[in-house]
Amino acid sequence: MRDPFPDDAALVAALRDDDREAWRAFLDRYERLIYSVPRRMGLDADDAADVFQDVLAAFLRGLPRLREPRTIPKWLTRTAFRLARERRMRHRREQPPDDPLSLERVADPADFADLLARAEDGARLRALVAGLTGRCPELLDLLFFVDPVPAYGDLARRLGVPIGSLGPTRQRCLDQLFVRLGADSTAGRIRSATRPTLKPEGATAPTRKPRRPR
Amino acid sequence: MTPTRPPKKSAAAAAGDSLHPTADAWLAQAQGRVSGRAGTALDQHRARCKACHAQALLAARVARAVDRTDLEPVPASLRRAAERMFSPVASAPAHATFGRLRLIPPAHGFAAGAFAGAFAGAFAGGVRRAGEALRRCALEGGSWRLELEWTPYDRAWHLRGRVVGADVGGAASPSRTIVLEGAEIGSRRVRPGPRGFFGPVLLPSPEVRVTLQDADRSFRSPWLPRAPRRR
Repeated sequence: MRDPFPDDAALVAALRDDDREAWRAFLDRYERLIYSVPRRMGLDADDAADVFQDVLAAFLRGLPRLREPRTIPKWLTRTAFRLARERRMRHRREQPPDDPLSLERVADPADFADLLARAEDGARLRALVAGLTGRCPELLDLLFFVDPVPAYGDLARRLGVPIGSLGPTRQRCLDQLFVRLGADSTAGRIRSATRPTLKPEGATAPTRKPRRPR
Repeated sequence: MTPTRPPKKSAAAAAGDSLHPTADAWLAQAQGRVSGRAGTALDQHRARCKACHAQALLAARVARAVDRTDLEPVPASLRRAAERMFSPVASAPAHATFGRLRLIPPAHGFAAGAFAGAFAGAFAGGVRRAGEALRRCALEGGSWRLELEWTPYDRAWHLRGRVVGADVGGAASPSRTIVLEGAEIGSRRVRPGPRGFFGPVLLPSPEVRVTLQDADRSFRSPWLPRAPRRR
C-alpha cells in the first residue's frame, strides 16, 4: 500500500480531519527527532519523556493555526530545545550542580542543526519516493522508512512479488529515485545560477554600426 | 561483491569504463555496508568517472536522509502514551466545532453554593501564600455550568472545579471530561467524580484554558483567570 501521507502537507490535512492513522504516521516520522533533543541536552529519560509529551501537546494545540507544514521539523526541534532548556534551568535552580559547567555543555540550537537537516532531507526524500512509479513507492518506503527494515522474504510477501524479483526491482527503483533526486538538486542549482543572467544563453548584444565620419 | 551493470546511454558510458557500479552499490557504500577491496574499487572508479561521482553524492544524500542511528529510540510505553494524546478535541479547529464556555458575572456564578461549601475543608488544609486570595469564576456552555477555584499553594496553584449539568442536576456522566491546557502543564485530562468535582490539579502558573467534553460537543473557555502573559 502506498504511503497515504506522502508529504507533511498531506499529513497535516489528515490530522485536521482527525485521522488517527495520520497521528501514528506523524509519530513514526518525528518521534525520534523530538525525543533526541532533550536526551542530547543531558535530560534523563523521565524528563525527556515529559518534554516529548509537552512538544506533542503544543503541536496539537497549534495544529489549527499551522500554515506552513514544511516547517514542522524546525518547529519541533526548536520547541523541544526550548522546553528542555526550561526544564534544565528549573532543575538548576532547585538543585545546583557540583560542577557549574556541567549543565552548560549543550545550550545552543545550532547543536541540533544536523538533526534538523536530516529530518528535512528525510521529508523531501519521502515526497520524492511517493512520486515514483510502479511498486517503487511501496518498496522504497519499506526499505528507507520502516524500522527495522523488513527481511527480504517479508518484503516479497508484503509486495506480493517473488523474492527473486526484489533485487532487480530495487535496482530499477533506486535508478528512478536517483534521476529524480538529481533533477531536484539540479533544479536548485539552476535557480541560483540563472538569477544574475539577464539574457538568454547564446544571445549576442546588438552590434552598432560604426558611424560614418562626416 | 559489488553489483555492477553495463552502461547504457548514460553519461558514465562516456567515461570509457566497461562496467559502472549501480545505484545500489553506491548506496551500500554510503551506508557503510561495503568495505575492504570492494570499497577501494568503488573509490577508484569514482575518482575517474564524473557521472559515478555524481551518483555517489546522491547516494550519500539518501543515506543521510534515512539514517537514524544517532536518533534516540522512543520507549514503547512513551509511544503508546503519545498515541493516546491524539483526540478529535485536541486537533479540531479552534472556534469551529467548539461551543464557548462564557464567564458568568460573580453574583450569579456561585448562586448554588454547593461548590464553595464542598471544598471548604480542602481549602483549609492547603498551604496558602500570604497576600494571595482565592480566585473563583463560573462559566456556562450549552446546558453545563463549570465552577473553578484557584488556591495559592506554595509557589504554585491548586485548581479545583465542579461541573454542574443544568439538565441532569450534576449527576455522574461517564462521557464528561475536562481538558486543562496551560503554558507549563501542556494538555491534561481530568475526569470529574460522581458529583462533578475534580481536582486539585497543581498549576505552576494560574493561567489555564478549560475544555469541557460532552458526548456530543465540546465547550472551550477563554484563558483564565486572565489573559496569559506568555501568549
